[in-house]
Amino acid sequence: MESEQRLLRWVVRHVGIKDEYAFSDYLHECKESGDYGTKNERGDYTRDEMIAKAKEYKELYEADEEGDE
Amino acid sequence: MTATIESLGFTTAGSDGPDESLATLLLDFLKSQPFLFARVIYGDELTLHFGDEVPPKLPRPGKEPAVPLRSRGTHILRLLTSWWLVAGGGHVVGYLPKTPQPLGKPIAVKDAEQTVPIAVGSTVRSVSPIYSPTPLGLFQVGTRLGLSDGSSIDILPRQRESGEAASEELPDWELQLPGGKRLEVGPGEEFKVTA
Repeated sequence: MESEQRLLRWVVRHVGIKDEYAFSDYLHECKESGDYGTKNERGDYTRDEMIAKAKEYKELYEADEEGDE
Repeated sequence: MTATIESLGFTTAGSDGPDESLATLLLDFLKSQPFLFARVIYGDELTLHFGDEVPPKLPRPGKEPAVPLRSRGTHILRLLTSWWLVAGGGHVVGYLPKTPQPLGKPIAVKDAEQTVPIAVGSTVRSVSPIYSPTPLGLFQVGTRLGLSDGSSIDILPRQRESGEAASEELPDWELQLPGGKRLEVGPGEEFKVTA
């Protein structure tokens, strides 16, 4: 649990996600819909998989916010 | 017989722990904010949503996400550590991953959304700290929120294994606030408000 949270926070910073909560919820919903990761038997995402999901999320929800600040 | 948090090594307000400015800050942030719902997010992390319900963010025009986002509250309590939810009538649900003796029947985090024993619309009436002394004489800090329906939310301080280092990157729990502001608590006695 803590290791997943640590990885998620690292990915948020690495990819530049602005809304960490929304991204966490997006990842959870992806898993719930059957898009499991390959990291372990619980279906958690590997670092590279999570980075890919973060870029996917950013393109969907935050791309228009680039340059807003 | 149900154990108490004191019998598990936690201490509550009135101990020699950190000052109560954290409780004052929390009460200031959460008072009058109604409870909305509980939600599990990635990493088996329970979130409790208060305040006004915010519609989910929409994808960019022309983009179709595989899964939609969900609505949220304006005030989100993220429980990255152990927690215990107690209804006014005594019904208890909780998550204590590393505490050997449970306070009652623990539940899986994924079931918390359906079993949270807090009435929708209840507001936070009181806040008091919960502490967990560490071998080095420092404290891990949790809190007890008392709600208007008689229920309570105990955020139990993380009890680390002997020799286990605290994560330098993660607080033990946090409260997300409108405008991107965030109250982060832990590890240890530290807490801070970030923008």
